[in-house]
Amino acid sequence: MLFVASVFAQTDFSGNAAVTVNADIPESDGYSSLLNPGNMMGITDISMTPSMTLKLDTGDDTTAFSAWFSLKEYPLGQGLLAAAYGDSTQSNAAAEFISAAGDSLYYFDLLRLRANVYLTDSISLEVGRQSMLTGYGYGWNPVDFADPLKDPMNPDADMKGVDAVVLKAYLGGTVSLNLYSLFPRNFLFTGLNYKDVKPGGELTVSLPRVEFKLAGLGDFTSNAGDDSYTTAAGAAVNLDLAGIGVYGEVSARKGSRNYFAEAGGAGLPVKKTSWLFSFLAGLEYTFTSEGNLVIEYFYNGEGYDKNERLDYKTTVETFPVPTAQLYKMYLPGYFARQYVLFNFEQPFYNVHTDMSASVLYSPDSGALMVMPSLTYTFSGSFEVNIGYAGMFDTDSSDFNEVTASPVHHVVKAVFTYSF
Amino acid sequence: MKRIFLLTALLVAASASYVCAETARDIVDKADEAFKINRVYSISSLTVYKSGKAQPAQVIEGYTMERNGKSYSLTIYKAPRRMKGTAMLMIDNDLWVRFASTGRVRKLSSSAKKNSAGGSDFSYADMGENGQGLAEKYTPSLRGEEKIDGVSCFKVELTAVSPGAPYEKLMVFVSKDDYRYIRIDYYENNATIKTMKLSDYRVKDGINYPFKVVMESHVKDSRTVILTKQFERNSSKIKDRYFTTGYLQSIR
Repeated sequence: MLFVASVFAQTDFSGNAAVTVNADIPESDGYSSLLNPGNMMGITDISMTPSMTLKLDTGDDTTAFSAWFSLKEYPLGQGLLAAAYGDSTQSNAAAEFISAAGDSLYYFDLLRLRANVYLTDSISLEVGRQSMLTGYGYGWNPVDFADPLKDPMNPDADMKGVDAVVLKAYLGGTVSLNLYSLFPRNFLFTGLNYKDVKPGGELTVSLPRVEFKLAGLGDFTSNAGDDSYTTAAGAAVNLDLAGIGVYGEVSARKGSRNYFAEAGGAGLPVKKTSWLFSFLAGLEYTFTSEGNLVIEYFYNGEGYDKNERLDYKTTVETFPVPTAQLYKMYLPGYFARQYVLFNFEQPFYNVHTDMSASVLYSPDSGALMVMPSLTYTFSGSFEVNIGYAGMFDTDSSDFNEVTASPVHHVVKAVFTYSF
Repeated sequence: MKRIFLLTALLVAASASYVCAETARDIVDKADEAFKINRVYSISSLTVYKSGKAQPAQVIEGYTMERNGKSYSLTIYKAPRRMKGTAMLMIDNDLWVRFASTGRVRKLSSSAKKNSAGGSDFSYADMGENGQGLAEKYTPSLRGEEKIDGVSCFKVELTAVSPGAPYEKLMVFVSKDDYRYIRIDYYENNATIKTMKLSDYRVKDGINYPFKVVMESHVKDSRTVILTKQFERNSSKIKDRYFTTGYLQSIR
């Protein structure tokens, strides 16, 4: 009894509950598009999605345990749309659509389930589902080989962790080394062969105003199955030049994680097996007004060039009902080869408001996405975010993520209560 | 004869100026003693008043350490709810921020250090200055004496010398009887931008430490009050491993 009391004395429960209201603005032909022929998703003008995240964190001086849960309600159409947009729950949600009764389904997910222990003052072991987010980029992280792709227009969104065992060592305050093994999703149910384990590592060296990383991941089953891993190596650097953060990441992958349509839509999509290079260059600066500016350029070696985008279009048109693979291939922010991101955030403390504006532009496909928003904080717990997301096609001769999307303009309000 | 007199006068003036500089340095060094403390653990409440109206109180847990000439500072927000789990790690001029929603740690450029920490009138640099005195980054000059809130004080001007100094000039008022910082005026572009008042000094672990600090902005209608609830010098709660990005990721 005393032990239980002691544990609970150090246990934190926290989280948030949110209601998202979307007002979609229909095009002249409603919400019909290449990915949503005849509005098969059943997208409506106004939709509402409640969600909740619950975090349980406990621990003592040398150990810690975290369990984070999320609960979301998906109207069927929104669920399909989320799948199309690469939502982290897409695969599971899509599988449940078939058996779901009614017009919505609830999805309960385990975002984190992690225990860590300090073996010595400079070595820790972390086991379970955890975030391995790394790199210096705001919108993209080419050197993050472990986590699912993050959304460059909303990179701070909750993301599901990965199942891993991580050994971290801190050497003299300047060097840190992470060695890890990644496990496939659902391996507790499906079992595991040694070759399914992906070993990886990351070395970080922190010097005054300079930090750099070397990272690598091995995948004995590259290009096999449907996981998002390939053998990869990368490097990243972050410099502080007269107060300006200048950073870059470069990676090489043995093959693609995503699928590519066969030329002319001749067959099922396949993964690439050649080495693919990606890189990111960025600047970050905080003005005296406290506005924070990020500008990034991303070259996506796994993106589709003009011909590959046309092959994708042909394939989708050839298969009247798009397959899950084709949906997964449609990822705004990763669909084309090149992107430029501009993000500006400005707090206005006197009026309890934060302003944020993101602009994502693909120079090669002509897709332009704009997302301004305002967040008003009523108290230390309750806030409202009102925003607009617009997609514009600046090159009508090219097929891009705007052309395929069923919704081009959305006004969104998110009411969040933190507890 | 006139030339010799002039030379003597110059020498006397130079010597007097040297004595003043020495005195100013001594004053600041003595006042810095309360802050040149190592391995400090603290819990404080921070309340921001905008146009006189109190905002939801922030509760922050602070860890500071000096090691091998480097200053380390870790600040963790415990309240309000929407900020809980947000944390900042500073190692000299390098700053990492942990975002509570994702647990993601991001390295920010040093330009962010001058800015407001959590909407308060303290900058990230102000929050991470424990463990270092003001004397290290500034050149002191005695500018006379003045009474502040009824306390007779030395008035010392501090001019930035180190590129790491966050402000171009400070005017500090140090009590004459026991060398406590009573007030600090911060200058940018030769204008006072904010004023810090330190009070409720209590002797804790052999140090005369201010348990109440008020920072008032002169460029906006805003004031921030920090009340220290818990303070431990040479605390066993301070572990070297807390000052790593790996620990920052695992913060509760």
